[in-house]
Amino acid sequence: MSFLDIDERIVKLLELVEFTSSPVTDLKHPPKEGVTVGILEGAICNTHNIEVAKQMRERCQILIAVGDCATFGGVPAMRNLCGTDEALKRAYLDTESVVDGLIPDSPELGKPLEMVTGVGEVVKVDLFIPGCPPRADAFWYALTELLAGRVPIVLPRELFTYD
Amino acid sequence: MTMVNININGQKVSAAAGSTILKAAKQAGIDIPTLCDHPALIPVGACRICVVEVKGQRTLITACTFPISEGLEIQTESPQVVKARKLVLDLIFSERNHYCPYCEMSGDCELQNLGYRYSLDHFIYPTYTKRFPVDATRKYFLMDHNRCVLCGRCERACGDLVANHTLGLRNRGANSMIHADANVPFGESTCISCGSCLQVCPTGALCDKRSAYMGHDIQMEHIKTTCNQCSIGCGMEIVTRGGNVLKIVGDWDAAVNSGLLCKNGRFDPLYDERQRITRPLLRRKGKLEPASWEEAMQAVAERVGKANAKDLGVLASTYATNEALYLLAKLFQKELKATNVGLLNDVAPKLSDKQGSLADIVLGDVILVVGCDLLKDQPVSSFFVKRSVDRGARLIVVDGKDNGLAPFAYMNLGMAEISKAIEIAQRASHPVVLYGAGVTDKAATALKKLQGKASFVAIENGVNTRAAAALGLNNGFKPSAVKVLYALLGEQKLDDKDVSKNVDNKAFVIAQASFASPLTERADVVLPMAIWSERAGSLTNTEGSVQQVNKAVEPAGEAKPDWEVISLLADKLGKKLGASLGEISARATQELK
Amino acid sequence: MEARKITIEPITRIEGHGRITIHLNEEGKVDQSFFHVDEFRGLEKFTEGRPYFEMTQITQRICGICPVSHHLAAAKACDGVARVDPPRPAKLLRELLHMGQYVQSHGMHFFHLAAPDLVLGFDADPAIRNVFGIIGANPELALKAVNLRRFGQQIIQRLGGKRVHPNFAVPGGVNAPLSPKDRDEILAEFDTMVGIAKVAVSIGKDWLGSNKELASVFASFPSNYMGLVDMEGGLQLYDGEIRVKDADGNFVAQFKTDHYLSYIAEHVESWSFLKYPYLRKLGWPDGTYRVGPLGRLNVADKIGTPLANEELKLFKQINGGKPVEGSLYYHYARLIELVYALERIAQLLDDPDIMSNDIRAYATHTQLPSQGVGVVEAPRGTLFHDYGTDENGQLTRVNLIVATGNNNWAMQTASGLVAKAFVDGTKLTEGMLNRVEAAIRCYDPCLSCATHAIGKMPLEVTLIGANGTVLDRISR
Repeated sequence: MSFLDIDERIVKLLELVEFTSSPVTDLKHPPKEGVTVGILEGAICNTHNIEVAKQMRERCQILIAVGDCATFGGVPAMRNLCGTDEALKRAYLDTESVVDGLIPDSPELGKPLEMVTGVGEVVKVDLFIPGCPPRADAFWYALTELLAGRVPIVLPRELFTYD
Repeated sequence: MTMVNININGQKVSAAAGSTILKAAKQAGIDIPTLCDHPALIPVGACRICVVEVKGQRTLITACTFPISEGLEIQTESPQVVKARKLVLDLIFSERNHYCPYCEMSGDCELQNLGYRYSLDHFIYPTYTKRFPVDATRKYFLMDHNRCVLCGRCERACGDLVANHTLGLRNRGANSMIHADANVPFGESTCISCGSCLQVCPTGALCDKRSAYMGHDIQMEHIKTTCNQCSIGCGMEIVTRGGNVLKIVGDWDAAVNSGLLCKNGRFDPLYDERQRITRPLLRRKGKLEPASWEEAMQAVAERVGKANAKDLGVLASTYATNEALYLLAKLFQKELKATNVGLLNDVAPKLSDKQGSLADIVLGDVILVVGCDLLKDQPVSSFFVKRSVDRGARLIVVDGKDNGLAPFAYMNLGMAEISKAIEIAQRASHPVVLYGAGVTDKAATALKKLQGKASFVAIENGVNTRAAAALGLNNGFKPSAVKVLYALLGEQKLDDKDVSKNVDNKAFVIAQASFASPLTERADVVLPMAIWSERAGSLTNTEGSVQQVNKAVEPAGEAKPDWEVISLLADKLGKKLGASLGEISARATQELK
Repeated sequence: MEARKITIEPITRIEGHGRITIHLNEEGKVDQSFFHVDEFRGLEKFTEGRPYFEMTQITQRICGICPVSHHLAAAKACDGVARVDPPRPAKLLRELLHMGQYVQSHGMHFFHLAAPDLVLGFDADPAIRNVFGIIGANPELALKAVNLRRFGQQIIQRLGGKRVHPNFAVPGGVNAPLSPKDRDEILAEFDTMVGIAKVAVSIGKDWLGSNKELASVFASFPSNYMGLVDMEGGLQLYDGEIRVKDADGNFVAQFKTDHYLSYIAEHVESWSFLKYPYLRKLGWPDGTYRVGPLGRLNVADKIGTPLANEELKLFKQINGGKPVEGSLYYHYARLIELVYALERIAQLLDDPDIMSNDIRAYATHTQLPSQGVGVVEAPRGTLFHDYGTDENGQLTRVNLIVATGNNNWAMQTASGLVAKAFVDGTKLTEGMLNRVEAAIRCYDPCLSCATHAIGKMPLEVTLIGANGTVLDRISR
């Protein structure tokens, strides 16, 4: 949602780009014929996330990983330090409010991974924009640089942040 | 001083022989990044961030440790250097668990700044793979080993500056860990919570509990001042935001302490749980009730103005500024001719006309500590003593068996055995005698043998005892004679002690105090006083140096600075003793010369 | 004919990752539907050992939409651990931060997430049935929406330094006073923002008025309701007691937040990582309840600001004084809260105490094991943080029941009802599936939050035959 923090610049941006899929549109996945730029956020926490990352890499010419979760693993990666099994046990069996707990294991669900990592561990990423949240101005900068064809993109110091 | 000519990045630089490349570069305005280096600590070359290329050397060199020599050619940002630094950073980040999003130090972290400088935007090596402990067993600050970069600054500060040697490093390589003593929880160790390690830590590994998340450094104000907790007078900075005190840090530039503080000065003042007095109180019909300053001062002026000189009693705490003590002496002793005037702590006897200074301690080869418990009461001075002991000085403690420096001493003696210590001191090259109010008359006479040979440094109890004694306020207080008592209590910790115990029940008691105590409970008038962070003025430390105290925040409620209260009283009594702080301060300084 | 399973994945225009599977029976009619949440993070375990005061920063990362809710719930739980009561100015400032978040969150939900259905229609072309379509169809409205969100975000930034994941609330209070400049600048925009909110209210009311029949049957079902109220039964979003009413509007319970464990339990199913909270005394599943705007307005008797209170009176008339049941009325309730949040901001800024710098009470007796419970009303519903610590202040036990989790059963039920009503197993149309999603969207679920997950992604629908084979999958 940090992307929306570009506020009114979103109107200008729409004049220049076409959004094919995003969480705020109803187009769920990038089209099979491919798109120029893909923006991915979130850590790789379960098998489903791996599939999505691979699909994005396949269909996007340029893949941008945004946010600390996608670039470094972020807060979700704190689970590595206690272990997935311990975490599942606490959440679904042991918390004080749970009654008759069980660990969800339906085949419908993506399986949580043992180790949470950033996206770069699973697919090749062309540009990393860290931040928690990543700064709206950093998005703006990257997209405007891309539109102008100025690659590779090096984020100026004031837009580069880890928190 | 021999100068050496070198070349950094094509620029000719001239620096003193014996300098390191880092120091020479800094002087010339050339920035070489560092992590384990700190201006107050001996360089160790642990982190490898400051590596530079030196022509003719086999490999990259740490700038912080390498001494310059004539003709040296150095490159500080060559591609090879930058590549090496990036590798080092990648390794440091992946070795432990660094999470910037929720770290208290984010925005002020030296590791983070290096990451930004070298655009580290993803992890190359597996990260977040091993859990490290958090030790929060100390009261004031905690250690999170997940954020430690093993720079060793804390260990160096604890060992070299404070000479407490609590911190150490165990194991090797990736298994290295900072620990206390033989790896015990900090709260059970020999740690004295001086906070020196906290002050030098470059990351959020050492984290102050009280000021966590109160903002970034740029959002805070730093006000330089002098500590008000003992007579050493360490230079410190009060850090505030939005008009509230967040924390205290040592002032690296201060002459007396060079950045070091102790638990009493850095932490305890912020954890004071005593009840603060914020409004003037007047006893009406047997009950203490809030009153205006006008009413309260009127009541005080009436009783004090009408009293005979011999009925007046004055009790002064030395937790007061030069200005306040000067006005107290001037008003009560000079103008109102009171003689029954005393202090709330003892004063050390004068053993020598020529007074040494605290700086002599580190030069001493035999150090006598007589009748004072430095470790407990003036901790920073005990750091200097222990540093000397580390360098081979012989420490002789002449005091009770539970003197804090006893474990560090070459010899522990009772006051009656002082002659043994004096003999040893007479054979020394640079003997130093640190003594306090606990020196007996006999011992004082014996010590005079060392006059002309030893450096004598009185270590006074209280805070501003030097000034108080110089102003003649230490005249011997006799409680039984008092009919009107003026007690300048300030913020001194009295616990449950009632300083007016032997004063007649019918006496009229005026208490100028910051906190509630048995005396303020029984007083007829209570005048609320500002505390250490709330008023400006000056203090005279135990060496006789006059140091500035600066105001950091507004006084609580209606409290006033100590000197202002007495100034108002003087006005009410028709005595013109000075209106502004500047004026009063000038007069006080003159008087204390 | 074989039964089939329809899966909708990812559900766009909500926060977090979720999936609906609809099982058709042999006759091709909807048999059952399940609401799956894939994401699991493990905050209740991996925060153990951390110093308790870090929770104001760690738990915020559960959600990018409502980090402030977690920030404040965590701060309140930390107040409990530290055994301190923040000074009044600190409470006002925390509430101001909270209201900024409500304006941002509710404003965004309506304009960016719900409006495309309402303004452009359920059957509109997916390529434009989104915020970008709104921008195309009515750029003026879109700019208003952007401004409203920006106004809310800026309040958060003024107080906490950043729009998302601010640093403001600490145990015992907040870390900085409000500057006169910030106060004046916020107040200067007040009238404009209320104007925008009123436009949103009229869009919502008009649509609901024109679609009254649909609103009364679309995902409409009886349930219990829960929300915070003050001592006079007025709507409370920052602090109060928890009140529960049943489907007829009778009192079921009202209790202090500290006692939540005696009243609330969580049920687990194998096919979702999101737990199902319910009231202990009514058992599972009778004890399930709805939270969020509909829940809150159904349990509250009044609202403490004039414009919002007038709207509340109209709202209460929809079902003759009894709780309003239709899921689509969430949108109206949400807009009423948007107006309340704006009016409350002005109320707070007019209170002289809010300019004070007496903004933090410090803990004494710090070295003792302790515990604390912090409850706030997040935009999506009641949020519970519960921490236990050892004598060093390190967390030994963390329990979180998050807003959307409270609505888990309701979303399941809502989407199931709509599936039964609109999904015809012989044909799958965009509009049908979008209606199922629209049901879930009413609850403005934040699935990252609900599984204490971090990160946000949309959801997906799969069609499964009675013999278990996947017959269709909608992925656009």
